[in-house]
Amino acid sequence: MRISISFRRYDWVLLSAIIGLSGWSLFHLYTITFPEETYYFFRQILWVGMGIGFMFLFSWLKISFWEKGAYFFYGAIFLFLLLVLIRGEGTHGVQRWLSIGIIRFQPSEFAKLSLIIILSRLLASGEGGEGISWKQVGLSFFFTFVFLILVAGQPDLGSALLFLPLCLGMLFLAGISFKRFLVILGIGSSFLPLSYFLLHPYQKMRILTFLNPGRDPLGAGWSALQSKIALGSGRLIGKGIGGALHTERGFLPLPFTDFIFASLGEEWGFIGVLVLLGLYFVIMTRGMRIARQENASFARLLSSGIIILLFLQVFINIGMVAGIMPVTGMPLPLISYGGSSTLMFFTGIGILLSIKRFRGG
Amino acid sequence: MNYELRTTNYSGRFEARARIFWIIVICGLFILLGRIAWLQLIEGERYFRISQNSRLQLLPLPPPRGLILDRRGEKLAENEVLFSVGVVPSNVFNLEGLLPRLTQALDVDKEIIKEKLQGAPYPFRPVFLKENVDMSTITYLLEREKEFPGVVIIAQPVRSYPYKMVAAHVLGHLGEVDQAELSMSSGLGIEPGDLVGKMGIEKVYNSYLQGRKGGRQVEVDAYGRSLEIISEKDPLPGDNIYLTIDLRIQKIAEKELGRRKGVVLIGDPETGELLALVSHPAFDPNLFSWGISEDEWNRLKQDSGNPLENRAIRGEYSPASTFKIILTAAALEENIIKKEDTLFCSGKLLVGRRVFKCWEEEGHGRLDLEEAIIHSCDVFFYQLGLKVGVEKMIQYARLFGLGKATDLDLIGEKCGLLSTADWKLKNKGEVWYGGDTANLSIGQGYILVTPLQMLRVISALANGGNLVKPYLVKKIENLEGEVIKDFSSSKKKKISLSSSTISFLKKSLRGVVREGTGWRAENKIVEIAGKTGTVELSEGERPHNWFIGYAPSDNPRLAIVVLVEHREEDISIAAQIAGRILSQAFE
Repeated sequence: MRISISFRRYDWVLLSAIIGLSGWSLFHLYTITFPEETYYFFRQILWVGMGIGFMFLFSWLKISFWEKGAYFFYGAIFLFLLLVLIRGEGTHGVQRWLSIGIIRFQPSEFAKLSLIIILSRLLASGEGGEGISWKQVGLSFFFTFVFLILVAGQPDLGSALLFLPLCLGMLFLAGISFKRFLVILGIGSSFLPLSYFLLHPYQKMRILTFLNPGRDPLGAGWSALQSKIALGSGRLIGKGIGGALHTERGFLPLPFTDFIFASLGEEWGFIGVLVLLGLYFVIMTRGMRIARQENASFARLLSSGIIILLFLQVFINIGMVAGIMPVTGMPLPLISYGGSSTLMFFTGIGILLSIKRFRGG
Repeated sequence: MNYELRTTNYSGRFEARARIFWIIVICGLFILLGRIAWLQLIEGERYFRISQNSRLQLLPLPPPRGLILDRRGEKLAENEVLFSVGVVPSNVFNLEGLLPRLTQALDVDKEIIKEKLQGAPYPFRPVFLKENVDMSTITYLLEREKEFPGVVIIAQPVRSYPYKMVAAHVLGHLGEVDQAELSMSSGLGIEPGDLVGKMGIEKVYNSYLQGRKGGRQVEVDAYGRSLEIISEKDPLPGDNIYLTIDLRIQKIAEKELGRRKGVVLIGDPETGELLALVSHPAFDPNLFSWGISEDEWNRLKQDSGNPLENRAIRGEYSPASTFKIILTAAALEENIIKKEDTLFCSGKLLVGRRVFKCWEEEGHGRLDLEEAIIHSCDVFFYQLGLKVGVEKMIQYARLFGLGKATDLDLIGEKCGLLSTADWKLKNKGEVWYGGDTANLSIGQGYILVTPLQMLRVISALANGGNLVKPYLVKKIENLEGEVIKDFSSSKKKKISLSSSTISFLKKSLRGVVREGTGWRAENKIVEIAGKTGTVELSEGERPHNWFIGYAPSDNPRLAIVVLVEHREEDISIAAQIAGRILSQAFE
């Protein structure tokens, strides 16, 4: 009896969209990894399986678990990020992974969720009639920049820079006054040119290439160009299942992770893209619905924070593939191959589900 | 109540913010959708085509170039596989770690490797680091494949000349096709970037050697590896060319000429086949096979010894005393002198107001025609020349083929120079003096010949009066070994010389070697007949030295021309070289 009530409280629309997206992602991964690289496919099955486990596990946890543990999680991730810089592993001269026993993961992925949790607690606890105080703003940026610097040092500028709009979005939804918001934006944009000088040469190259793709079409612009070709060549109905030849023949770098959307667009065409964006739209709508119906500030901010993160990553990743954003290493939520990203998003969805389930009344 | 209101207020603010956020989300999604619609629906066809084209490639299959062989089938130009080492930039993750190992293994500068990698046009295609890498390095790299991530070994067919400089001027060399050659060879499938013959047999017979390109339409991946052959047309290998050159004799001739500048030509006097053509200094045609470096090219171009110049057909020299053969023939044929007539040599002769000296300052005394030839008496021939006259001398020179190209199957042959009184008036603005005639009588002054022309002269004498056309290609065979072109039916032109004149000249030329100026050619193996010549140049310059002859003297089978530029020895070195070459050739 009690169990049946619990299940009835699940957001089945959200759940179906998530399962649909993950199923599609696995199927697509299979078609582009078959036959030589199905290793990635089988690994991803494992991640998605674990992710679904995480999702249901966390959907049974009360929201207060996250509120109470916010600082603890932040501290733990902080330590992990430090460890990555000291003894991390990775390829292409960047360190992103951390191995603890047999577990090997990317703390920077979990840092995103951890930042949302701590900001939700920080901004929710200070809620008063007069809105967000400068002190809260200061602390928010402090927490954000600690992670930003640690992640940028890996170096993973893509993920690092994601923290900024995430923090701004949360401040905005937490109700910061427009005046203060504009002051923050003003200060921020005046620091922008300065930060250019702190970038690695390859990062500068990517930005310059993005601003002017013709600059170096075969060097730094290679991935940008090839991803556009792959995506565009899908046309309306795509090249069919297993037909993403441009992707498969190695023209596209990182076809399973950062550029998976290009192969998806190549195989499924514009119709597939519409369905995919539709699924994301459903997930975000349901997520925002959960947030709007919630009265408790923490839960509301937490759930909307997860949606902000989801939206940012979808926009940046697809924008990158489509050539309207610079090339940065950023997985497409719930589609790209990768354990940490998959687990983090399933955890996030689990939190959304739990908020719905435990709502009073 | 108050609390209730505050909560509502608060929720209201969130609601408002959420709405703004939601608008941003919708806008974001529409921006993405719009952009993707543009890429897939409007530009889709174009990207589809690009994606097809980058996957489908037409790989030309270069035909194996025809071989060039000597008359016995010894390979003088063949095709080899050349190994190059390259790096696929996208597969190099730790350049700093790889660099020192690469520089050590390949002996290429670190900075050069770095530069090449940074300038790489395709991250997935190999960049060439070093071409023509020796086998030991290749084995070293293959054995340590793990230590050299991203390093690939590329095999390319390349033209190779196993004997390096030997017969370089005959074989010629390859080079990238230029605009003029492209427009001339339309329909042969030659494309920009292809290698074609640039000199020698490689150039003249390029259309035979080239073969026909095949093609293969393949599906490739981004690394340029072919995955599937869609259609294929086999290349047609080039035809094999058998030269008249005899590698053994060619090598002997090159060895005996040594480091001296000059020419050795050996031919079959009956047919005109060339068995050896040496022009020194020479070059190594292998240098051109994989693209010569600018430094090497400039060095060859600017070398004062002109290694690229084929002196045998492009060097123009005074014939000096070798011309006395022609003068004698003219005098006998025109009945201006009889064999037994004698003339006196006091060591000098006054012609007009100028004193003409004999090379023998003491004078030869009284000698007959045969003795004059044997001792190469200048004063005798001044007198004879003045009797014969410039017109007759030139007429006979023409009969022997001087003054025009021999039409050897090489490009760039020079004609030499035969001048008459008219020519001098026109070109020098001076009248013809008796002194000029005297000078011409000993092959100096306004007369120039190429060594190949002189081979023709001596061959005509050796074969009893036939002017033969020298040639270098015996036959051309296709892949199946069928002879598609046979050149052995040589063209001859009879020179109207009486047999008594010919036998007199032959007897005299044998005397030259037996007891006269050509004695250094005498040897125990084969009897040589011939004539020496010393080209006097301006003050302070070492003279050129000629020997033209044939052997065996009674039944000539080989004709020879040796020319040494600026001889360093004060002897008839050309005769000595000819003697050594012929004695080894007949051994």
